[in-house]
Amino acid sequence: MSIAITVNGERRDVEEGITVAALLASLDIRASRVVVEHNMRILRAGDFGDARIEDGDELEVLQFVGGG
Amino acid sequence: MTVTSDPTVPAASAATGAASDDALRMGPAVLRSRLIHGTGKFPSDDVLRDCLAAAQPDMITLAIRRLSLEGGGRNELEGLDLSRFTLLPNTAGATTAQQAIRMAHLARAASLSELIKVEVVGDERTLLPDPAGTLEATRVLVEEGFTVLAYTSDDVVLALRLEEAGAAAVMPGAAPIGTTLGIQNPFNVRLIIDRLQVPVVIDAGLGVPSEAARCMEWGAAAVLVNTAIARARNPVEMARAFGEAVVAGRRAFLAGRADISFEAVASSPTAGLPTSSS
Repeated sequence: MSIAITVNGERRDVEEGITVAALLASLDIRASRVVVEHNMRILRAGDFGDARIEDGDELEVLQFVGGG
Repeated sequence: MTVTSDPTVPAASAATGAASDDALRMGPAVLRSRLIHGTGKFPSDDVLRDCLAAAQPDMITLAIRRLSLEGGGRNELEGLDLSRFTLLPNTAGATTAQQAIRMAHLARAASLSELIKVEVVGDERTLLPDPAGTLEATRVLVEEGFTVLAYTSDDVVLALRLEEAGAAAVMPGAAPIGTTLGIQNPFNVRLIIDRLQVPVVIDAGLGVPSEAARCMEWGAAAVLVNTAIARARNPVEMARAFGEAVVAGRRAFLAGRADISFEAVASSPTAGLPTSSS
């Protein structure tokens, strides 16, 4: 069973019950370098493994880039 | 690096410029180098790394953006050991106080520090800051415990209001972001430096090292340089030049300029001239 979520503004279908940690791993993203906002709430890196993603959830995965 | 052995003379070094106790303090940040180095628009990761090695800043600025999920998204910070620097994340891209506050929260989660450069753009073409949004975001973030460095225009009263709102530093632009036009309104920049108690960091629009030195001679606490280095023909040499200029300007400010005289004053003795033969 898959659910539809939005990651960085794009719709994605993922497995029901997936955690943020598992989502990042499936996208080949190193958790140490990113900040995740889950339904507008900032997650601490230590909570990625416990944060379950529900149908319709919105996630932002952000990182530092060069800037002035 | 030259270190004097005379205990009565403060130690000085080429890298830090002035006396060793001349560190710039803003909230948790203690900076020996008064050049704050941007990290955007560099031609490559290697060039950025070499610029930082040449300029030796303590503080670097960063932006926070979405990660490219398809991979291949270039990140010029990838090869950089960020733990060597005091990180100053910005809220660039925000056009409202609310957006800036949200970005500050994200930046805090990423940097694990409360330092934030508040930047709320009010006009797309000039990228000049929105005064009301900047002031509002500064108030809220200060209240939340952030150390706010507020990017602002060269408006003197707004700079005073940002100080009253609790900004740890106020950062007037010399010229619009990325223009390298240099100091467009020296009178206002000097008024802001003179009127504020908190550190004044000249941010945005500087083009060449002499302008950075000039700001430091006027008593600016620091300068923030990005485009002038990143887009120089030789960014690494330009980074070094800015580093040296900031050191020279700060040293000159601490030394105190000579008084201006509107009449010529001979530098050579007027007595002891040989008698004229005619």
